[in-house]
Amino acid sequence: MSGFMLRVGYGKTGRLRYLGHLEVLGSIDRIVRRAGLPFAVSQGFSPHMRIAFSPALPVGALSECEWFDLMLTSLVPVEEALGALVDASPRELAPTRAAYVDPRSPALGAWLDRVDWEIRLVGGGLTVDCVRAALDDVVSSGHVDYLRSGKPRTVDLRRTLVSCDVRGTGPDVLLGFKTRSSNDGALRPDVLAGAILGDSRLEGASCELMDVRKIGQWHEGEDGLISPLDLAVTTSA
Amino acid sequence: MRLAREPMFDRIEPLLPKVEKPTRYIDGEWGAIHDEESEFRVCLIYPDTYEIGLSNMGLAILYSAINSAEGMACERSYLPWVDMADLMRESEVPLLALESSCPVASFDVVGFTLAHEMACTNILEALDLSRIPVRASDRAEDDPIVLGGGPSVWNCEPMAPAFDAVLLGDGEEGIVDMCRCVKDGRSQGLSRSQILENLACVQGVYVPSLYDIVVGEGTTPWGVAVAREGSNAPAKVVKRVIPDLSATDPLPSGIVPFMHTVFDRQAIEVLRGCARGCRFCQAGITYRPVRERPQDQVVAACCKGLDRSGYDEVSLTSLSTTDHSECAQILHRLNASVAGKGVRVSIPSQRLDSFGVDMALEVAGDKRGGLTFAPEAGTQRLRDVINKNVTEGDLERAARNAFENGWRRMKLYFMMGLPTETDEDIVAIPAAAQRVLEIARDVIPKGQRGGVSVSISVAVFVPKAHTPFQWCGQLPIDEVRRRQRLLVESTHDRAIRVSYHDAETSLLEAFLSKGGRAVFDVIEDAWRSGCRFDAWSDHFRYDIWDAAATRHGYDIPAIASQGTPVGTRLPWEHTSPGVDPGFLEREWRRALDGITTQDCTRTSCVGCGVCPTLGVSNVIAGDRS
Repeated sequence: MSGFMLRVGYGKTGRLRYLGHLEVLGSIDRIVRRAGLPFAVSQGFSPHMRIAFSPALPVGALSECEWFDLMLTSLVPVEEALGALVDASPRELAPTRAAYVDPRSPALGAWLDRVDWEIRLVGGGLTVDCVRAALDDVVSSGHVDYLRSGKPRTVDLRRTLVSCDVRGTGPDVLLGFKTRSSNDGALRPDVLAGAILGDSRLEGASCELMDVRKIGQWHEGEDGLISPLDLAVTTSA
Repeated sequence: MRLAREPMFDRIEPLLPKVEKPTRYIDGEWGAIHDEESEFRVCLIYPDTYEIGLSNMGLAILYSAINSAEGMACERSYLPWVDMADLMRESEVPLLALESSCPVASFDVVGFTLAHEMACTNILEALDLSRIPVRASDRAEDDPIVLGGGPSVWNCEPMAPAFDAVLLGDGEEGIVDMCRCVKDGRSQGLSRSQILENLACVQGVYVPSLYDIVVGEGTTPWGVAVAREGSNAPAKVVKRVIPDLSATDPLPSGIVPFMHTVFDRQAIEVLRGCARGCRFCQAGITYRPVRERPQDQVVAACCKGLDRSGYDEVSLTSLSTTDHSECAQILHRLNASVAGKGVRVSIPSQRLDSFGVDMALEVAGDKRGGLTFAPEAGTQRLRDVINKNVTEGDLERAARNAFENGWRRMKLYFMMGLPTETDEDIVAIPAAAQRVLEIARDVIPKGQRGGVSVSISVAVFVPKAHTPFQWCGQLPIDEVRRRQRLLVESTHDRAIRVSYHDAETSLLEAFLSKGGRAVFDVIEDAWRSGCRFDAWSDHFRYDIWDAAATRHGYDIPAIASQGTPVGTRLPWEHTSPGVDPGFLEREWRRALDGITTQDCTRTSCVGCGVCPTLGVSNVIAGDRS
């Protein structure tokens, strides 16, 4: 079925960072309906809105670079569609940009394979040096073992961690890292943070607060990183 | 002591990563009202988790009514799940209202929905977490005034000591009158007891502290509540009623949750009240008369509600939606207006005798999930006793109709322990399910029968106040268990799934339904001993309840199964839903004789007394025939 694919960038900020991925999906479905956009509906036993999302953001993580692709049955000028979506959104989940892309574009979920994260750590005795030392220790081991839903898992840092650094701003320690995902797996920010903070690597220091933020997400092309809106097309009715 | 009004989200935010479903506690939903201007503040609390409370239509109506009133702001709160409640106590954070994150104990009025008997320990838990004394008599001058209301107020004596005042009946006007009374009293500098005296003058309001419990000749051991001499309290409190539902807003609150809630859809109340006259049913008495919304108002509200909320489902709710005189037309018009939008139109349950082919085709769109019918009893004899005026033929016709129109799953609700019930009535339950299953096998082609299922769910009858069965004792628990075994043993076809309610839960429900004010001591003891979320089967601890009752000298099974002679003065006689007590007695005698009574919206007046007592009448939009 032909249609017009509107790609929308949005944020998950403030208190809404605590929404689970399914809650975000349901909320955006309702935002689109409230916005009154001419969304396409799938055929079949259980008709639903034709919409696809970028990969799930962990509960509690902030982001201003989330995306969804919404299929429309008729062309609505981008500014008008974006305005209607913003008006129908809670501020902390509001869209920030949009453009039409080719409806045959690859699905966002698998296509977005490069993600940059930043984690702000606050706690007693935490310093840039001790976090850096813990990070170096984790990276040098080449992998992280962790539990997910009670089952032991391993993530290979050589495949999934592109680079990382540790900086300090006042009492905070900022851990920045770039990741690459593939069919072999992805590095979740909480897994890396858990490895750094666990196993007594911090020698007496403790982390009381941890803010996880997604900084950006792209597709890794042959010539470099491609942003979701780099695929924008000019569409006419 | 009244807590200071200050936002405290920063105190619960560090707890959010440690709890299940943090979305319960974050606010910011679409349609929530943030009013920082009004000086008089009300917090309404649903005594269960967010996802259950948000779906409650009564609370949504009251939230909207108070926020629309001049000079008042209303916020919401829900009982935090046990993980969060424990962390809040550990971190010394009181219960907060959702919208402002200010302490509940900083509000002028705190209102609870008495949704059902099993929520009683949750009300105490919410008060305690708020740092409001659980007994009204222990509250300080400046503590919030604690109100109660809702479906379970019809024997509110067991919970009466927790409330400063209780509203009986329709709440949308009554709650505003009560809040205004408190607001005026506070601004005039009246004392707490003077404010309560004034509240007792508001029609439909019961102020427990102005009534003494008197045990005497002709009463049960629980006694009766007698208005104190010299007080303003009426001898009998008669409920509030909205005469014309169409004069109220069909779309009260537009709050759209982020998380999945139990009824995650746009709900429109299409009618209030039911005059079918089922003799076990408390709502059938206490919500009279029947008031239908006109077709145009319902359709317009559904469309506006869907646009406003973004929901993909609209539900026509009421005690018995298919009884609406224009139900088929409403369904038809709604389906036409939502075509192509991936929106479902649903009704919560269907009556066997009013679920026609036209309606079958209109509900649920292309989705044919399950259908639910409630024959309530297995034999015609027992259905006549309880005045459930449906026949075997109705069940078979409805089943054939549903299976022919694409449904594959059917759920049938029954009750066990009804007055005059015998083993024959129990054995007839799986037999009725078997006939339905055979109809399915007859109607559905062989290759498609895989998905066919018929399930029967059997509740234990709990005698309720202000019903024709209010004098009955509950079936003793050992006999309940024997009949549950008989039910299972009489079910031979593996395609029929049987489930039944937990006997101990029903037992406690009966104890709380029958008891008087002294039961509060047991409730408080059970709560202090760790009971909360009693309606959640994994949290229900009958052993704790039993021990608490024993400590106070009560035998729960004996009290639950004890019948009361007709003519005895009952613990709830000082509250009235408008029904004539003589009507209930007459209905009880007719039940024993197996004589049915007709629905007054289809025939003539049956003399229940509600219309003349309350000065109202049934409002039927079209023609019920």
